[in-house]
This record gives sequence, structure tokens and C-alpha cells, in this order.
Amino acid sequence: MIKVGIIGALLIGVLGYWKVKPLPQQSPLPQSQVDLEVLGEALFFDPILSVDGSISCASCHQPTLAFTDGQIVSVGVEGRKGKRNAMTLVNLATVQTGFFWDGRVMELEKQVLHPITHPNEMGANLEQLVGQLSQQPEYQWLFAGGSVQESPTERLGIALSAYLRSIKLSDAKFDRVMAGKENFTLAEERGWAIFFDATDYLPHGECSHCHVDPLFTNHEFFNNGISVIDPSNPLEDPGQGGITGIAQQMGRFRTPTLRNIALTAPYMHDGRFQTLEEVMEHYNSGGQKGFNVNPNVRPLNLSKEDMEDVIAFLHTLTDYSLEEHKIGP
Amino acid sequence: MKYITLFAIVFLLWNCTEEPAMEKADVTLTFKGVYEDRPLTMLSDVYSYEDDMQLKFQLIQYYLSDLVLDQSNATGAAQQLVDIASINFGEMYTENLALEGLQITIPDVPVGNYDRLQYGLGVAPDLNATGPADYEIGHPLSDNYWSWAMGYVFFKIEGNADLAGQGDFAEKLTFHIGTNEMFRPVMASGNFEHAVDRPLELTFELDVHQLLVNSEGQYLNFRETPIDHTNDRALGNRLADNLVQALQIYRYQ
Repeated sequence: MIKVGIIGALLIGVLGYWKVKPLPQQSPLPQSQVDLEVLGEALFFDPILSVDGSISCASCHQPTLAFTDGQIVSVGVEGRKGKRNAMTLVNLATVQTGFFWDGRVMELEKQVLHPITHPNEMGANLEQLVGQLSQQPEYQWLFAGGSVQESPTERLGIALSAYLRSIKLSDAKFDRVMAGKENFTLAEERGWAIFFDATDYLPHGECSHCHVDPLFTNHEFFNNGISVIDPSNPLEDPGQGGITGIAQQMGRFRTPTLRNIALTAPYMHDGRFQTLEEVMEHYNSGGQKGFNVNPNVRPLNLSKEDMEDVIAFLHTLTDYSLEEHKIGP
Repeated sequence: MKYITLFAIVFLLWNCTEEPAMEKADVTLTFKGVYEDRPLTMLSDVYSYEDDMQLKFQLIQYYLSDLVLDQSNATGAAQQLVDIASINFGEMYTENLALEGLQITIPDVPVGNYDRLQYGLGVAPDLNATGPADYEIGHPLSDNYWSWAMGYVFFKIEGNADLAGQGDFAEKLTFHIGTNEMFRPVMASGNFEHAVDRPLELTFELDVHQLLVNSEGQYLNFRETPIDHTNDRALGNRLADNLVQALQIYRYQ
């Protein structure tokens, strides 16, 4: 069964456009998807995108930390703090249910522009930024051609999202074990069984209801019991419900992928847990009560050894090739 | 449509060299959830249950496989309307939404005097042998997979129970059922005539009370069993049987 998604159609459309409309030779113009990713990569690491040239996208999304920043909440220009933890950027090509912790933007091409203009992040003015970029020879594709359909701002989004879609993980130890090329240790195997509720001889971790493999997320939004949800007492951060206005979605946040989770501390949308041990303690407790807490979040009665083994398994989801993820020269 | 994902395939199996151009019309399928005679809502309404328990639901989801329109006298070709569909009531937060249901339209289905409707509840064995990696994200089979069991969860019941009937919905309920032996093929007979001036519009109504309580009054006792991941095969088979009786098909014309 063949299905060409919107993203694929967009990329095909862009590639088709390049094919039929040659761009000026004096500019370093993308002639392939890889070239577009290279351009996006250059923009991703370039502090020109921030209002004062002090930070780039990579400041909060560092490859060595699985494209997170190790901070409880990210720090933007002039030391301004955001309200949420920086999400990993791995496997974004698979997201179709909305980006950010609250899912408020559906298209990656538009999502990438939000941090650039957010006052607590990069704080840039897109009009001024486009003016600056137009002076840079390496970014002339953003402005190439007089009859292009996309604006320079839209092309900025296309280039950045092309780079982000190139960040894919699939070579962790877990993948090699599943392919029969390696073996789990005893602790990892035991943790795997607890994670997937794979046997009645071990306690069930209830993890895989939301963290479905192979992506280790189902891309959906849940209240995982870290905050008390009281309809009469509005939350400081209502998550998805703050976007939709739907009471049943208050306190729900995106299920993050667990790929490279060992590298992305601290955890949760507000970075409240510093370690995986704290995360496991939370889920083992069953979390806070609340009318829309997902029923799969329940007291687990895991022993310390059980939790250690689940964490050992989680470490098998680390793909270290990401640290060397580099497309351009 | 956000809440329902499916791949519908209309097979054009007639011999076009001999037959005149076949008339076609769209078939409309609507999927609704009820609890006895009430619309089924998520995270909203309270439903009375056996033995003085009360329930609230968070998710009811099931797979529908191989929905085929057929003619018992075999004068016309069978028409496969749906390959696989995931019917998910997870965002039916209000009675209005529940009454509206989830609707899909199968375009250009050849007209005919169909009198049989075949379908499977769960994921058909051939598809259950596949995995999420075989599908694009967003496909019905890109989710709900148990890698350790190498198969899909055929249906899910999630919610909360108030065991004492005092308004405290503290008991968390999770039933994820699925393995090949719990796949249920169904054939329904009736007037499924499909005509240009009377296109087929079918409503599939799932009564969740009947999913939990079988025709003999045997009910799922949440005091004893609040959770099952197909660990109890007898229970899983019973719920799979219940799913067949709980799904009624109506033609409102």
C-alpha cells in the first residue's frame, strides 16, 4: 500500500520545482534534498537567527544531548527563561499530530519559525532577519528567483525543517538486538520485559501503552499524573487544553520519544525530574489523582531492582551516531 | 477526519468489455458509541454499571477489518469497502459529538442489490502478521502494536470505575485485547441495496454496556479485574465475543 503524505508531497513538489526552474548559478543553490538539508543545517547552527546574534537553534538543541540542552527550561536571548523543557528533535519526520509539548503547530515548516520570533527564545523580527539573511551569500536560495511561490520566510522554514527531518535514529542497541545482531544483558532483558508488560512472571511497567516501539512514542497527548488537574483551579501550564480550550485536554502534553532518553535530562515538559530514577519513581507511585490522568498511569509496585532494569533497558535506546550527525562540510 | 483512520479500497472487478458502464454512488459509514440508550462520551458522563459500580470512560477503540458488500446469489462482484479502519472514540467529549459519530465516505461504489455485509472485528490475521514499520505514520496500523507479542491490540477499553458508588472514580481500568484467536469474522444479512437514488448509508453502533456484559448477564467485574493485557485468554475471548454482539448495524432510510 503506497501512501504519499503531505510532507512527502511537499518535498516532491519542492524538488520538482528545482528540476523545472534552474536557479541562478552564482548562488550556492540546493540541487538536491541533501543540499537543502545542508542549507538548513547551516541556518540551524547560525546565531544570525537570534535578535542579538547571541544564540542559534543549536544553543537549546545540542547534538551531543540528543538535540536538547540539559536545562530545566531553556534560556533565550538576554538570559530570558522559557516555561518548558527543550524537546529532542529526533525523528520529527514522523510527527503528524502537532509540534511542541502542546501540539499547537501542525506543520514543521511553520513550527521552526516560532522559536526564532518568541521573545523568550531567539526574539528575532522576521522582517529584519530576512533583511540580514539577504546579505549573506550562503543563504541566497532563500531569495532566489523572481517568480518563486514561497517567500524568503517560508523558504527559511523549508530549509530548517529539511535539516530537522534528516535527524533520524534507528541504530541503538535496541535496534541491533531486535535485528539479532546483539544481545541484551540480563538486566536489559528484564527491563525490556517489564517495559513491554511482556510476561506475567515480572511486574508490568505499563510503559509501552504510550511509548510504542519502534519510535517509542505514539505521538499522542496525555495527562501522566505529574500535576493535579482541578477544573475549578486553572493550571499554570494547561498544555494541550490551553490550545484547544477543551477541559478534558487540560494538563495533557505530548508523549515524548524515548529514543536517546538517557541523553535528554531533565525530564517532563517542565524539566521537574533530573534523572531517570526520579521519572521511574513517579510512574511507580501512580502519580497524582486527576479526572483525566491516563488510566495506564497507576501504582506499579516495582522494586528498586525492577526500576534499575527498566532504566538499563532505556539506555539501550541511545543512538550515539547522533553526536556525529553532520550533513554539510 | 481526525478521529478515524482507514484505508478504503473499492475494487473494480467487473468485466468492462462486456458490461455497460456500471453506475456508482458513494457509500457512507457512520460509527457511534452508546452505553445502553445513552450517547457514549469520554471523560464526561457517568454510567451505571452492574453491582452498584459507576463508570467513566477515557478511550474506546476497535479495529474493523475487511468490510465487504456482497450478494448471496453471486450475480455481482463483492465490493471491499474498507481494508482496515481504527474506530477511536477517544475524543467524543460531548453528547453532541457522540450523536454525530465518526463518518467516512467510500466513493464510487458500484450499485447493486447487496444482501450481505462481511467484516472482521480486530485485525485480520494477514494484517496482524505485519508491523508498524510496514506502514506510514498515520496509517491505522502504525500504532497499537505489541512488539513482544508480534501483533496488534484489537480493541481497547480504558476508563475509571467508582467501585463504591460514592463518586470516587479511583479504580483505573485498562483492557487491551488482541491476538489472532480473538479476531472475529462476522457476516450480516439484510437489505444493503445500493442505488444511485438511494445510496447506502450504514450506522455501526457500539453499545459499550454489551461489550462489558454478555447476553447471559455475565459482567466484567472490575473489583476483581481492573486490568488485562490479554493475559487472561478466556477473558479476552469473552470480550471478543461480546464485541460482536455489541456492534449493531442500522440503515436509516
